[in-house]
Amino acid sequence: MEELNKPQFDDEVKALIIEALAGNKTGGGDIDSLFRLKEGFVVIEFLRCVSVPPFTSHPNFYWDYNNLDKRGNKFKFITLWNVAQKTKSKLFLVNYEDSRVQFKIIEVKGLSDSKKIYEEVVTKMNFDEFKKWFNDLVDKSY
Amino acid sequence: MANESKIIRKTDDSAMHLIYDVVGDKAKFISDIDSYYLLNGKYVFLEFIKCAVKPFDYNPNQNWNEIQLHLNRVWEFASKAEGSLWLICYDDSKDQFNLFKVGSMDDTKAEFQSQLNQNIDEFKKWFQLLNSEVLKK
Repeated sequence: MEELNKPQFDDEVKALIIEALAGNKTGGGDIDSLFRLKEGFVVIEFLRCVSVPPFTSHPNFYWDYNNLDKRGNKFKFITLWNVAQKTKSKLFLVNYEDSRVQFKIIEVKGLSDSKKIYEEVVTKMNFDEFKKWFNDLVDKSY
Repeated sequence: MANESKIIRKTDDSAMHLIYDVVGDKAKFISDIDSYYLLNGKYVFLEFIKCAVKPFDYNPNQNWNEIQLHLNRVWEFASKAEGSLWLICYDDSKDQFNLFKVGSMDDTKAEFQSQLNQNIDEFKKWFQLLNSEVLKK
């Protein structure tokens, strides 16, 4: 019964994109979660922290890291910032870890190629606080 | 329903596990953007829809209730970005790809500017051309 209640996860769109691009680097971006609120859109990017705890980690620390199949973290963050600016959306980067102990919410207020993320509002949360914040977004989204 | 078409989330497994841990079944009401490109100053958004029927027989308007919420959000976001939106309708066999370029949309239906029926080689060519044009810039 427990098995039946497990959510179905699916990376098949990602797999299809990779297959269709035949190993070429993607020039595109994606958005993990998109909320439509009365006051405008909210764009959320989840950043999984493995070796550094979420409260300590920051995208600026691995700004120049490049995955072989992608254009790199810098490109990802700049792309997200640009589309958020264009659509007048709020952009939140969420540092999280598998243990679900620490959550760091970074609302990006200023970002550039040379200065990286230079203006932000950071909120540190535990799991219960993050649950409340995220559920609130889901409930308000229409 | 077994024959429902659905919008498949792109978000990776780890983040999806987190979302389900946090909101449970409400996760299905959360939207995402599968893929977007900036080409010559214009955004191009791609939304993938997995079809329960053969993609060439698929019409988004005939399956509107299943996809309306997510598509309305993505269309509004794409419109705010002054971009275009393509729906990429496919199935597990990947032998048919039915592409719809959205011209307009409201709560009840979408209207399409153009529509392409492609096999996988044609779709790969179309997609790789878009990607390579973006990377050239």
